[in-house]
Amino acid sequence: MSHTIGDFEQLILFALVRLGADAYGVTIRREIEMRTNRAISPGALYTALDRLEKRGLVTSRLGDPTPERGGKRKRLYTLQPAGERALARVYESLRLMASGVSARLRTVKG
Amino acid sequence: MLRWILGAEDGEVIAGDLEETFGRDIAPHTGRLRARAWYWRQVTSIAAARMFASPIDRTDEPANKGTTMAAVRQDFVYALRALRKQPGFTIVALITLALGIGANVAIFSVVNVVLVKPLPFADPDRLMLVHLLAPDREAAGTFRKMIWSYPKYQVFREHQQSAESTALFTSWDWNLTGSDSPERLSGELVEGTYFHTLGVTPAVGRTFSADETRAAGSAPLALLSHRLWIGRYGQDTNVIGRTIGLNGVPHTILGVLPPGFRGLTGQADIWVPVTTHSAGDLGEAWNHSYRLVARRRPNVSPDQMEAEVKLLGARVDAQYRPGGWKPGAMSQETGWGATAVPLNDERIDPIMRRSVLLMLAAVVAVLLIVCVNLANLMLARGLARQREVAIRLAVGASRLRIVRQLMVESLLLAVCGALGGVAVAYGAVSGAVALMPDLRMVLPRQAPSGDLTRVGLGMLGLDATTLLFTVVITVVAAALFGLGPAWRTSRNDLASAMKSGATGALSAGTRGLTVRNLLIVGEIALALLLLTAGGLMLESVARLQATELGFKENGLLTVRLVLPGPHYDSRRGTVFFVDLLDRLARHGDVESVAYGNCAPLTGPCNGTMAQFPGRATVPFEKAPDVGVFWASPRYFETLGIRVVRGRVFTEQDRAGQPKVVVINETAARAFWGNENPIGTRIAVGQGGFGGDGAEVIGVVADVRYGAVEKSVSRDVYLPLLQSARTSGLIFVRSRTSPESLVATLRQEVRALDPDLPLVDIKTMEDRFDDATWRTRMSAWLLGTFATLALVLAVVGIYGVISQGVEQRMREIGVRMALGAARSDILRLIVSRVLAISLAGVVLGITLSIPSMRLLTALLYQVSPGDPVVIATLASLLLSAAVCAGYVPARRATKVDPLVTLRAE
Repeated sequence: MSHTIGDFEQLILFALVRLGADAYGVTIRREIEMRTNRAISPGALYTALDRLEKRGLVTSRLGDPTPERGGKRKRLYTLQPAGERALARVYESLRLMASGVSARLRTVKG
Repeated sequence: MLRWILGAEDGEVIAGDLEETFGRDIAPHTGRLRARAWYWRQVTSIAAARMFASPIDRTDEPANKGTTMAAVRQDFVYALRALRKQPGFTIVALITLALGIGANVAIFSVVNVVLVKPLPFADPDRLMLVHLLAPDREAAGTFRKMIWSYPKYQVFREHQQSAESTALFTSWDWNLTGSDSPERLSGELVEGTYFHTLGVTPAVGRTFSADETRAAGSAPLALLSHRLWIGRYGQDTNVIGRTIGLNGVPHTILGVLPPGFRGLTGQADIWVPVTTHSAGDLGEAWNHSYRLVARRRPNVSPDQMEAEVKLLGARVDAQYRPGGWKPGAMSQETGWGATAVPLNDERIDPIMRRSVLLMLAAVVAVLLIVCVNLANLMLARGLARQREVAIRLAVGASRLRIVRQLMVESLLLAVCGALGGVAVAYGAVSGAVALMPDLRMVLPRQAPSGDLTRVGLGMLGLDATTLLFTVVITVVAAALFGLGPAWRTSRNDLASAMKSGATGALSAGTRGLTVRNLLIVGEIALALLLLTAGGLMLESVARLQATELGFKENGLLTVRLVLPGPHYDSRRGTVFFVDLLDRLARHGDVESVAYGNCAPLTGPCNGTMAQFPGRATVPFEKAPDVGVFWASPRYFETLGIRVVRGRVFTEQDRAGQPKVVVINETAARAFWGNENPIGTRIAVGQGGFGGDGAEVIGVVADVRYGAVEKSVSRDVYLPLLQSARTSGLIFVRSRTSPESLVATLRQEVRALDPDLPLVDIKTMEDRFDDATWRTRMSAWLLGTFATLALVLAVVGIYGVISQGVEQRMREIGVRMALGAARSDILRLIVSRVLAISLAGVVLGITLSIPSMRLLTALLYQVSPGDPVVIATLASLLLSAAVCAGYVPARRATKVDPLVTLRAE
């Protein structure tokens, strides 16, 4: 099985790191949308979470129902060591590649 | 929706997420409509992502999730994608399935209510109809079912043991009086035990008590139908204890019956005790006016009850034979008897039963044709997917797995088609209910079961049984068109399929083609059967239309008037009718107006036995039957009845003058042969024309008073002015259109009696349509199904031939390269089409000989094996088939041999 993780999956893993214990569909989506200013298709989000779970990078468990969810339970996601390693690997290579060019990129983007 | 696609747990989690986001971020900031649009966009996005995720993603799910449900869901998703990929195929399949299943569901819903569904009474299995049996004068040794007189019933009631409860009833109409809008109400005269016997409890108030209906002349009481209660009293419970005016007599309302209950006559809105308002004198043993329903005791079998009823029938006969209507006349004849029949066995008239079952057979045939077409299409799809299937088999999929996958696809198609079919059926049934407003005209009025059919049809709709039937035919259809092709597709020669698409298809396709040709032969045979059935019915309708009715039906408006007693005695009744005729005759656009007691085509009308004062007296039971009619002076002129001989009634043939009658040609022929009947005398025991009878003054053409299909009876007309009546019809012949006279008619009747309701205003043409309703309906339905079958067969032939041509492109290319002319190719293909179609037609004709005999009872003046009809339709089908095959054949001749050969 491939160990690379896609762009969108990386964003999700970062969100999990940031959210800690409160990571579930709504918060993950909001975290990514707010930080990256990009709209997330819910279909893609759930599909990606499934895939990450199947690859052992995250685990999930059912949480408690809350009234604003109409009494429905939430599925809470936790980053697993394998996920952390994969994310770290990606981030490291990205950092290495980006060092020294980030200033230029910023000017390009404006 | 989400839960179904995702499973319960995922569905809950995601729906919860959506709801939370919706409540917090979306709803407060946007309008309701946009918020809702957002919600549905999310739902569809999630659902789509799930369903159209690449199959790889889903197939390699861990084994612990690979339960059967999960696997079937996966098959389902895969099937959905496969169907989406070929929208043309899917749409054709869905439309034909929707039509085929829809027709089945619609017809079955009729079968259900008239044959299957229990009658809407408590424990209906124990309800029996008890009939008197009278020896049939037409056929010695047989009996006719008869209704009861009150005294005979009393004997029965007193001695019977096998029923826990018995009740007399009969249908009756009243004029609703004392309100702003006069109305005619249908109802029933019933014995007090009626509701208890049927097991019906009132929704409001109570029903009649035994004391209230014990003896003749009991207090005027009434019960209302739920429908009438809502319509006229706005569901006011205070209506209990108030009175309702029926024929000018106030009746105290005791209760309201539950919704949907319309009595055994299926059309009652009001119930009155038979002891309050009898259909005749309750003391007259020979006044047979009532039907009898009984509830069998639980421990008594129908046979035991029948045995007891038989004995009681003999007892009743023994008691009343000497005191009969014509003393002595019956004594040496076979006695009367009685019989008990389960209510359920009489719920439908045998001819109706047959036509309903035939319709069911017809729609099943249509569905079979649909399935054959689909099976052909599926086989072709299977061929096109051989490589895909071969690969899947090669990588380890079991054959069962492939079959299941393909079956899920068929099932999915069938289910979607069935959903469309239910919609089609719902529309058809609602339409039929709306188009069937006056069941009274439609159903045989005096047939013992006519009324019960009405009870059944009143329940027409899509219910649980119908839906169960839908599910069953859906699954059966899916198996029929899916299983064979799926099995064939999965039995795949791996190596050849993998080698090359085109050659693989060719080698595996030849056998498939044989199967498909056989399917087409069957399809054409079925289509021919349906076409023949439709053609025979249409021919019957044509013959019905062409039948000489004996009167001119166009331009005639008719209305039935019933003058309520006691205000109208027979003298006042005649005065009323004469006044009304005078008033109407003064209108400029009225050409002619007349009174008659029975409208043509609506029979059976009144009749009795005739005697001939000039000849030797004939014993009562040997005397001939005649129809007896009453007519005003201009009756024959108004209806356009031809005068054959002598004269018809004038204003001078009135009370006090010598009694005169007019007879029809059939009577003249039957009673006088070639002699001239004018001036001779005939007596009929009705209207004061018995005894030494009346002089025959004229002979008129035969008029069909009964059903168009029935032969004409021997009829005698009595002059209204010499024999008073309180009910009958006014016939108005218009100079313009009959509809324009409706207002005039209403106005003149109101001027004479504002309380008199005008019901049943119809043109004579409408009455003709009513009278021929069953035949026309059968013809119309069978014609529709036959057309559908023809179209489907043509589509099927076209599909098979064009696929055959495509698969043989290479062969055709080779032939042409070797010098075959285009005409040779054309002949090759068209002759194959012809061979297939001929085989189908021959099979169809062979099958039609026994099966069309089932139609005999429904046909009119057409033999079930009518060679002209069969030959015409067979050649129509053949030419349609050849045309359908010609199109792809022509395309084959356009093949460029180089292109086909190079494509290899």
